Amino acid sequence: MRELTFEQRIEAQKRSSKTRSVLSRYSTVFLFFGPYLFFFTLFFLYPLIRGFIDSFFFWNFGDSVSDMRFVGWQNYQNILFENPDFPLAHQWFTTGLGHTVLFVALTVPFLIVIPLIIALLLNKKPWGESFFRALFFLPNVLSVATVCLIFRYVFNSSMGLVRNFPYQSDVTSAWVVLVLTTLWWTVGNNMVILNAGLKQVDKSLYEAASVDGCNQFKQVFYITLPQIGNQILICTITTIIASFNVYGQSALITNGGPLDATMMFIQRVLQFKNNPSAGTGGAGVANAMCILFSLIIVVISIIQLLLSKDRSKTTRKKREIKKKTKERGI
Amino acid sequence: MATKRSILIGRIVSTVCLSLLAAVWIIPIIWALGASFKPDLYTDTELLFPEAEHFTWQNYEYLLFNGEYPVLRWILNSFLVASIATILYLIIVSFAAYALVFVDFRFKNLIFNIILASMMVPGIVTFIPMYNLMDSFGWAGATDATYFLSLIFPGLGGVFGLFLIRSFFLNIPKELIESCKVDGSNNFQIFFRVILPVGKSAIFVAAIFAFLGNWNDFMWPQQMSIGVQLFQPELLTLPVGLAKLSGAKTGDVSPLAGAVLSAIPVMAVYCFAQKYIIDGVSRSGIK
Repeated sequence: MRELTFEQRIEAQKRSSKTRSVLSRYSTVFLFFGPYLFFFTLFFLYPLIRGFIDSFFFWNFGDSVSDMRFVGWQNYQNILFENPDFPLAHQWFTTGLGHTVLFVALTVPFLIVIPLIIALLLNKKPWGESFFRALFFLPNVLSVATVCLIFRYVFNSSMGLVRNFPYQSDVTSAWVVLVLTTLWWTVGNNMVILNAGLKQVDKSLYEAASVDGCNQFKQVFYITLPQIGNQILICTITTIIASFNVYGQSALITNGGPLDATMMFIQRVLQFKNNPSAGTGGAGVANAMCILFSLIIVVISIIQLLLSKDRSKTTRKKREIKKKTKERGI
Repeated sequence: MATKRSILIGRIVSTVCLSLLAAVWIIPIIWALGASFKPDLYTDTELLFPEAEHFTWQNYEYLLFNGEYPVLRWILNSFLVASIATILYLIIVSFAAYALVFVDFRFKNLIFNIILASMMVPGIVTFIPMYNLMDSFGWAGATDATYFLSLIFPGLGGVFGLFLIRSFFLNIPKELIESCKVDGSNNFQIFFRVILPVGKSAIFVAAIFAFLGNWNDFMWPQQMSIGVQLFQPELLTLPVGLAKLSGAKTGDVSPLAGAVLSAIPVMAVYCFAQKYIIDGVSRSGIK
């Protein structure tokens, strides 16, 4: 047996402990992170990739894989351009997406402005501040089914509390009821985020402004709003995305009516699954519709990322300038 | 002096404005509560509360004891599904967050970025393949309680709780972990003896959000329960059951009693966890 020098022995020991620590580290990762990764892959990555692949096939719900027929971009063509053999694809995609975009346009401005007003009022330290905050947030924790059940009857034209919006027969009323219900339900979320942002605004800015003779309204526009720009941006983007995903309100209050005038995108996708009159090959078309829909939302999210990066860059610059001026003792 | 006065005026004005707005916000709830005690929605609707001679418990009696709309059973189902899903999710996610923060491994950043990016993808995109997956497991559209599995498992890949717990773990000093390792503790010991006691509050907040999200979920359970809706309505979860109730043409029951019953459990959770919920939401805006 060859004798090892002292240095060699140390080296060997080090190496073995190193491999052992790497091994133990990976077994730890496997045990700690493996379960989550398994569920994430099975219930997110796999369906995502599978949905993309399936959008290039002609198939129906309940088909086995062997029944699926590769058709290339055909589903996408049917959706984007009218095809007399499958008119519903184009029709349902454009009307469903159109209604969803209209819903986004009708709700998002209110869902930013109203929470902002409430947050600004809360920032004036009213009596019962935390009570008001808790109250406006309260509808958020209710289920969409509870909220819609209540508002179905609140706006019922023969026995409700508010009877001049016959949402079952009049299109404008249907939209008003959908928007008001959504506002009542979700205003609290952005209110809480914006309120938290307001609390972080440096109070000395206001003092300096009032010394300079800036009144309270001017202070809101020149100090408060720019200071909470990040929160407003986050709220806008998350609200746009949430409104794009609208389903419960129109399914439960108007049921897409009157005459499909409030039928949203997601309801149309579900119709391809649940409604036999949607025609054959509907599953592939529904998949392709979802891919196109997600592209829109991904683009919005990327815009958000770019904007917020831009903002953080400018604030970092501002901070650096501040630091430098401080260092110079100005 | 002038500033003190303007602050006082601001307090008064904001209190008045908020009180008016709060009245608008609370009226639908009060009205629904009052209407749920009316014998028939058609009478007395001008008043918020029914007059004493019309006051009745019959709507609640009908919902609680007549088997047609078993609201209590739906509440129980929702509670069961949401609790099991929440407990499983928290176990999986807090271990995963520990690995993401305190253990280095290859591709960690790549995996983390993929998980981060998944938040951008709208749920409907994975809906159809997920439905087929649940169908191939025999869970979707099952006419018995096996369909509950399709409500419990898909949520376990969710991202929100992972991020919440991870962002809290990031604030725990790494030196603490290193010193424990020098003392000879392994990762499991560190996780249970050091991290869990420190991270309790974050895990609690994640639990509330997971529970409420699962409890209030509507579209997915609605689509998964198509078989149950036809054959075993007592196996529905609360939101889907309420949708059935609100669509019902009932002469002798006011569905609003169902809305009130369904709101009671979440209101109870909200009452005692209000601070944590609002805190969790406000944290989501400050990144």
